[in-house]
Amino acid sequence: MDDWRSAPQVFWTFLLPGTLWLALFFFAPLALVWLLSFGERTGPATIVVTWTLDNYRQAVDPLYLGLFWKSVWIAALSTAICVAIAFPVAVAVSFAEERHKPLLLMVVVLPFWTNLLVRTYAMIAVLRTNGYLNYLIEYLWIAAKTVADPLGIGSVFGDRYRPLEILYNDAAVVFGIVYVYLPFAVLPLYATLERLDRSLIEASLDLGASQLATFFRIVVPLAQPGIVSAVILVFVPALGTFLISDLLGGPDSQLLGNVIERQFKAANNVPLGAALSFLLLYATFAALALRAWLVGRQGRDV
Amino acid sequence: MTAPVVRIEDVSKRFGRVVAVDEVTLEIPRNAFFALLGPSGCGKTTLLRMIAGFERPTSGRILIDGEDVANVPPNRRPVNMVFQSYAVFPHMSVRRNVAYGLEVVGTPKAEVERRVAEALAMVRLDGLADRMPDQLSGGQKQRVALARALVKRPKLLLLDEPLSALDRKLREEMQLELVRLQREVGITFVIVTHDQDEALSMATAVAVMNLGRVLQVAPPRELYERPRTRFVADFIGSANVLELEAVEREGEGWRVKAPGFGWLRLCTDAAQPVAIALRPEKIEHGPVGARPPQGSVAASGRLVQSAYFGDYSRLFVEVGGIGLVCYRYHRGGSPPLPAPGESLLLWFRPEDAVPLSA
Repeated sequence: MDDWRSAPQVFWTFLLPGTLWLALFFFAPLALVWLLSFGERTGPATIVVTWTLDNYRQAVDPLYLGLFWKSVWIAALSTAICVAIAFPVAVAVSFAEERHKPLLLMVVVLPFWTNLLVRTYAMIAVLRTNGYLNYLIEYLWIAAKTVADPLGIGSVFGDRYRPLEILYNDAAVVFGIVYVYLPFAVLPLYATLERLDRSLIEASLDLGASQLATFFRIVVPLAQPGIVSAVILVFVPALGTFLISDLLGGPDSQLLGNVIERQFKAANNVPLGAALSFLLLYATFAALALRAWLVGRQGRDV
Repeated sequence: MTAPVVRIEDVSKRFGRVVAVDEVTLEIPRNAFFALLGPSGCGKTTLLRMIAGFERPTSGRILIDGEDVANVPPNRRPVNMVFQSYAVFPHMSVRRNVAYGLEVVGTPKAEVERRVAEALAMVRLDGLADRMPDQLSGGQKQRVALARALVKRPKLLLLDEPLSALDRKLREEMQLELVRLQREVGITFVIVTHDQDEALSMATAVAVMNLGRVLQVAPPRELYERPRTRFVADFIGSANVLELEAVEREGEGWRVKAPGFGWLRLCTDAAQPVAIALRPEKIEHGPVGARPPQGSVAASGRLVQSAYFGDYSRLFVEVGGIGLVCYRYHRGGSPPLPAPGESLLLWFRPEDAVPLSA
């Protein structure tokens, strides 16, 4: 197909299934939720769209705004950690020998072969008080104490191992988000680094720069598109997550996603849930617009 | 004669089972404009990359200014490279590109500024210092790459096929420019090229490579006039290679029998020749009854075909079962070209026949 104008039937034939799918299962439900966000509950299962702004007024209540900022903060922290871990991984994969690359990439996406729910429950088994991480630390503690006791300094370890409270707090939520979304950060970074002209790196070394200077002055700036993609791919789903914070977080680790979920289900306040959803969606749009603006400004500088 | 700036001793490079460079021994004289010339895949770029430090020799030694550089990483070698793709950093202005190599080693700011300005003036990019690379033409990017390397004042400037991405007119301009720069800065240039015209017109010495080996190192004129092997004779310019039918020792030289032309004497102290090369322009021709000058070797042949090139024609002549090429220059008053199928007399002076030993 050289030009869609010259063969519009072919073009539309290819475009139609995707367009229909999006229209039926994305835009239509989204429009429905949008309408509901202006609705009022008149009975347990009846909502009338009255174009009221009460739901939005309720949604910007300090309680929800606080949760919103916490969600942004947790998502931002998780994203930063994800990118920091993913960058060296992506560098390692893109510089690996050609025949090892498919295997390494498969290892990166391997967690996707297991359901998110199963993986998150597995994290509980690892992190909980009677979990594998605590078993490991206890084992090390016993080993250290066995060595330290004859030396008379065993008392610094205490007489009994007290399991660490790793699960059910904000740190566990961040850990869970990083664990689940890491591949989303690795793949775009890898794609960018793979396209990076190797002679630029060689030129930097040739001009006397160390490996480290080359990494920060050449590789990182040129990997910027990949970094931006990685940030968006991790930040956007992390902002709306409710499963991870529900399973790994403590009572005070509720994120906006959990509140929205509860409005639609347990609290049965669909209009408020819809309004909160759209606030989250607008925040995401704002982040994307900011990114576009940054990219555009950089483009003018060039 | 000063010591060579680079000595390459028995250097080999294998990639798996492929031998890219095969026991090369080579000296690059100081202040030379040295060309590594050969067809693609002959190992010339690998050799260059070993000098720069991007590849390690499988065996052998490389000495730069007498120092074995086996364990010196590329960023510590007194060598800079102009890459085939130019490798101009796309996120930095021309000025920052050129300053990069000085900044990363902590050169004082004032000196960086002064040297960058100097380097930009040298490659005539003064006015474009604040441009970004995507606003530059190919030729300008190349000048940035040159300035960026020269600003480091290396002992050796390596150029990997520097002109291959330029169009013909710009290429000729850059050839002159590179020669001028080399004379001006007094740095040894090593250029890798597959283009014999480039090598012959710019270099003071040329190493011809094929299949990982260096076949001959000589100044351009000697390379053209006295190639030592069939490959060099054929690769540099065009040559008629005649396989010898018989070779006999005669005094200091050799008595050899060439197909069609019969016996002739070659005055050479070189190894036993197996073939001779004849440049097309060294073969004279005339009508069958012509009388070649005293001492020349003649044979009669039959014109197979001729090709017209404006100022001259190429004649394809069959002599004693083999095909030869010679030229007819179209000067005023030249007799008309013979027609295909017509008989001709060809002759050459024995001293123009180049003995080939391999």
